[in-house]
Amino acid sequence: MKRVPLRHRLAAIVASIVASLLATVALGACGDDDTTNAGDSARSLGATLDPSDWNAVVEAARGQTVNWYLWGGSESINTFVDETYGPVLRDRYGITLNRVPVADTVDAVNQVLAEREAGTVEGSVDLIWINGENFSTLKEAGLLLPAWAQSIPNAALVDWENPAVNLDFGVPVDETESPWSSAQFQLVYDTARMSADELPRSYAALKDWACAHRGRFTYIAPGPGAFQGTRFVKGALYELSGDPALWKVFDQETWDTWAPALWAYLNELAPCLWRSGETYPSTENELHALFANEEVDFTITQAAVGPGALIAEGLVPETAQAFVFDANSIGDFNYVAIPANATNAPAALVLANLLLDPALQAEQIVPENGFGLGFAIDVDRVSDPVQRQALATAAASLGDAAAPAAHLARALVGDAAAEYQDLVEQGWRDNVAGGL
Amino acid sequence: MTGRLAWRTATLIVLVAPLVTLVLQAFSTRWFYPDAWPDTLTTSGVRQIGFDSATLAALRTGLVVSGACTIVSCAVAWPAARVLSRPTFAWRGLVLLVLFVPTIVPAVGLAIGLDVALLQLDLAGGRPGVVLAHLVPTLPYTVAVLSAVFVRHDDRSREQAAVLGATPWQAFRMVTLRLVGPGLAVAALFTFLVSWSQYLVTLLVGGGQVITITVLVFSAVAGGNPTSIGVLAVIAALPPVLVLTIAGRTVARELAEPA
Amino acid sequence: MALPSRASPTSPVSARFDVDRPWGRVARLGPALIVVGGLTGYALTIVVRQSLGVGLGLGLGAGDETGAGAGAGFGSGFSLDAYRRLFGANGFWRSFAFTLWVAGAATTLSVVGAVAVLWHWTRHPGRARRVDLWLMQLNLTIPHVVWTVALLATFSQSGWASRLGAALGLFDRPAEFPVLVRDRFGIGIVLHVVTKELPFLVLAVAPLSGRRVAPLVRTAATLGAAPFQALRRIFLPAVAPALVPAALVAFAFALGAFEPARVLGVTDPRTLAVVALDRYRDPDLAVRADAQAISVVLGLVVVVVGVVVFTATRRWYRRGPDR
Repeated sequence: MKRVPLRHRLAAIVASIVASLLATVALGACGDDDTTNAGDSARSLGATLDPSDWNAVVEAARGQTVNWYLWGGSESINTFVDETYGPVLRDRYGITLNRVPVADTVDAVNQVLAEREAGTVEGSVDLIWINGENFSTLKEAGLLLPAWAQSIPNAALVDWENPAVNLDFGVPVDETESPWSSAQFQLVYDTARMSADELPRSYAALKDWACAHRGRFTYIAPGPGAFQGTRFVKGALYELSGDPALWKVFDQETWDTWAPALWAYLNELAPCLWRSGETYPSTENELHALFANEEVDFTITQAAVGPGALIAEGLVPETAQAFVFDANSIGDFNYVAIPANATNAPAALVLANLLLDPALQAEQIVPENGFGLGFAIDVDRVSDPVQRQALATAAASLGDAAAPAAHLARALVGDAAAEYQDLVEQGWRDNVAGGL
Repeated sequence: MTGRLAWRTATLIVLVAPLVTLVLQAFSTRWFYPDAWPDTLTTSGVRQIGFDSATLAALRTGLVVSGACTIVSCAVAWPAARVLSRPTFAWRGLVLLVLFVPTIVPAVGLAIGLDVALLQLDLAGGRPGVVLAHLVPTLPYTVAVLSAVFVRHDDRSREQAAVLGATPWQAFRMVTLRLVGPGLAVAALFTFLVSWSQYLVTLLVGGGQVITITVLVFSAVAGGNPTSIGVLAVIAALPPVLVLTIAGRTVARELAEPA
Repeated sequence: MALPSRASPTSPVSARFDVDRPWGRVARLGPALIVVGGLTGYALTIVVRQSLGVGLGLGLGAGDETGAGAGAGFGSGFSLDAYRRLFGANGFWRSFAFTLWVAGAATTLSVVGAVAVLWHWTRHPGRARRVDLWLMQLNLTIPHVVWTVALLATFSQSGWASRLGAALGLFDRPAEFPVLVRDRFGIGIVLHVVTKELPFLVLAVAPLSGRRVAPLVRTAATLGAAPFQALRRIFLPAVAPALVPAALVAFAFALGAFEPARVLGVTDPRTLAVVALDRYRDPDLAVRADAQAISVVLGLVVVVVGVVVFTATRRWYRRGPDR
């Protein structure tokens, strides 16, 4: 067989390399070009909408598909969303609901950020279930549809004067998001394993209990996607400082004063924890599984129905029941927001309004429906007697698993300012987990 | 014989038992510690989650993405493998080195890099982008398998066919494909498996828009429902296992056959 | 795909694109090289650039570099900040060491195990082999996510193995079951990697060891070589050309694997892959440079290990098996 001359081989390989380099450079150049004026063009799309002209919004929304990005980690919440809002949107408004499950809300935030980088005008995200740091990231970047949340019809049912509603982790909501439901930090125990009078009712008592029952308690590692763990740690901070009001506004000095006591408490607690604190569950559901399988004796929930929805889904035993400490049980509202570049902003507005519909608000707290978080609306503002009745019936059907309403109200406190979120999460990594 | 018994027990515990656990989870609810066996076996989880529209859509997306990736990968690798199998080709080492870079880049770095690259090319967030991204980890394997096949069956048989008067198409269909067909099937199988298994690349490049069954399994893990996890995991494992069962004989023959 | 045949009367054009002519080779190799070389090269270039603070895109909040960011080349925003931050970070070296330990231990065990299996098959070709081969093929087809979930459900302290143990009266409580997953030493991650990579190595090397090496080993045995001698002087050198690159692939996989490390790992130390993804998903773009820096560090580890391993095994490549 004839040898191919060397220069031919060289030519071939060089040509190949040049071709791929050219392609790379050409494609790369296109990508880089797109970054100009993204924000302006994105914003103009939403600006043509006037939420106070509601009929026009509903008309514009007809036939649209609303892409709702929400944390998809709970089977029962997914089902609730699909089966409760999907049919109403379709039948009443001609809107298709496309629920996009994300592992963590930050993924939806990153999608919006990436689209701004790429200059995408017709964004893929229409609505996000959001609160806290994710909200403040998008709001500060100017990537949220402004001035709508108090103009939608059902906004009249929301107590917008309540600071727990108009501040999201201390950040003014400014009509860029609308509430969906409320949540409050609670612990869950198994009535088959212990009786109510054995329960710890403060962080101090919890430490004693944990060290008397080594390895039977743990909490969720604070961090992105595990705000429940962060909230557990913040509650300890409240109790140690003795004054929840101290944490409403960010102050570095306050933090520096109390942080050492917080880490000391958690580090004393650590050796008494499950697996001696060498690892922590990273999500709420991991903790539920440890609780259900008798590795630990408590889990954590935020739901008004306590573990009711978890029992219905089969994640925890039927004998599970919620309780709260006597104080420092952090509660707040969670919201939906619309990115400024949302392609189907009208449909998103209709959905945001629908979430506040009294009949559907009543549905969301029924344990069997699988959602279980509390009302976003102020029930006293509902005037329709039928709707009032529905809300009252739902509130009465919370079931045995729920913590007593009086206990919840007595212990309720607001969340700390948003700046503390990062400090708690990073500080916990540095001081308690001890690593990267 | 105790050695063989120990080996068999070990392989059963380590390689088979985990799969049985998943199947048991899929067909049970409320199966808590310390029950060694679920109280009742039920198909309710399979019926609810297995036939959920989101699951079926994810299954479809996975099949479309991995199917497309397999076809493109084989089409691109075939001619490359023919060149690489030529004994006169002196640049073989260098080309192979370039083609195999993706297999030695740590997956997390490759996934992140591909995500940013495809974002900049405005290809992220859609199926074409995900297929393109999957080609990077799959192509090395496709090329490797096909080159080995071509080394074994070079062009001489087809030349003989041509000499005997066959048209190029006839020669290709009746000689090349006959000889290379089984090897091509193995290459396609490997490519499909590698693509089907991709989680990080799909998650990042797909940006939540392209949800394959593999991605869905991972989000079910976060969801913590053992029944859902079991059902989705079994569904995610089924297509590759089926493909292997069907193609298993060919694979075994190709693997065993001396060159 | 009607490819021209060299034996048939050909036109000048098709002759020029013949598989043995330069242009024919360029045309055939081009697409694969562009997809793999081009895209990988582009992706890796971005990773390296971003790790140096270049082209991170439009910044958010502090240090907002408007417009110019994405398109600008080296010189704008070039800095080693990400590396400085990373190497100085609390616990980085612990994570780094943990990652190396997990990848090193898993690869070593996989290689040793694979060699043991192949050596056994070489010396005792028999029926049992078919079952093992099938099990390994089955395992290879299972997606990593699924396998990781399966291991967790089986070997956690309240998993199926623990429940069976409890039913047999071996354990009273979950805490009595040994910590096999989500453990401080990464046993769970190692278990995942070994169970996936050992079959991969066996299947990658089996064709070679089966067809060429077995006769050599048998010949050596008849000539009176001790088994260990045959293993070291004939078997290992003969399978090295397939085993060493495959082992490097397995090592790179273990180093950058996300799913098992995320699901079967502990809160601390986390493997660098998990930290990298965590950083990459941070909405703060400056933090993303850390993710790219971690990727570069992991890549360099593979390069160093690759060079060392290939240098150490070079004589086998040059010489082939001792005769």
